[in-house]
Amino acid sequence: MQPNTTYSFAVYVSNVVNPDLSGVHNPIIQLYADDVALSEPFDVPLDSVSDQDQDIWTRLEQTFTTGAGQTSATLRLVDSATSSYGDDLAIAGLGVFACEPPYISLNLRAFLQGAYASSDGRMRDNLRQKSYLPLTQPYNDRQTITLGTKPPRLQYWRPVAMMPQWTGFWWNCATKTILPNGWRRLPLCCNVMVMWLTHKPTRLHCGSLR
Amino acid sequence: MTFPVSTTYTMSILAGIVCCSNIHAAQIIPASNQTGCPAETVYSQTNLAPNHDFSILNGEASPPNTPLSGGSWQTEAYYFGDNQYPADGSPGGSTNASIITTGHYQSTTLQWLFPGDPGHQIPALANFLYVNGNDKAAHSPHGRAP
Repeated sequence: MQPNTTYSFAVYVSNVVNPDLSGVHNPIIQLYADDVALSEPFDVPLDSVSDQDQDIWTRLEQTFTTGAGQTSATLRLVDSATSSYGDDLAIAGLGVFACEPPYISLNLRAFLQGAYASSDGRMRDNLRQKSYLPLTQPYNDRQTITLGTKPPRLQYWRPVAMMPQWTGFWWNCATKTILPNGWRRLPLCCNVMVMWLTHKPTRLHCGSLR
Repeated sequence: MTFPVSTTYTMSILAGIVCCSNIHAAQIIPASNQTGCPAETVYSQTNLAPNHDFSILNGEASPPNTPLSGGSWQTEAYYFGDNQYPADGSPGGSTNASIITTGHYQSTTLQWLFPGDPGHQIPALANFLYVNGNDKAAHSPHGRAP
């Protein structure tokens, strides 16, 4: 787990008890995180045993947020039913997931153009040399990427976006940028990039400024 | 890191054998007052609860009359055995019992398998955890199915 991160705790429950029995008691389920109740008690309803279409699995889900420095949590599913008559429970599909900014996976190919210097086979980076270029992407805080002490020949930053929703994704192959989980590194290396995508990734451009 | 998930259960009923059948539709109903991931976030692709689908049966991991555990979770109810009715009063005199069942559970009642929840990209599952009661209430043989 990561500190200051919201997690989803979900589980599916079903009442096993034969509904033909009279007076049976249902499981009463609550979700807890570190002994803090996340939900109100849920009375798991009886369901049909003869008609599978009428079988009921109820999804219980709650979220919790870790504190500063917190890297683990104890999650509990507690049955508070007090009767010994009934109270049989089936549990399936435990899930604990971090809630993350959205992302998608791409497999891109870029085409380079711009200030190519044939003398060394690399792109010009005049702007960076003159310290006109911020070493941290300036657009938003979705992804924080810093070029480090030995920046590549980066001329300017441009976002890579998948429409209709911006992803805030940043990439520079020369820095071997750490990509969000699920992203694939682009199969090329250039040190100045302009990349622009529509929802259908049909166009990608990579270049530099003089 | 671990996510121990324990359960606390009271008494229960039923007896039976394991059966199997085809997976059909069932109703997936979200409980009210639920909270999912906040707006502008999505679920990560990694489930942090190992053996979350109870696909790993527990027979070798948990001796009878001890809490059932599998991966990162643990039940407070004692392990009774795989694919068996987790009777009240398990071996050794324990009153807790729990089980992982493969296939539909059938006796005088029947518990269908989890059919999947496409809305949350959860597939149909072949196993579930069956938890019977514990000893927090008096044992009640009348609770068993006849």
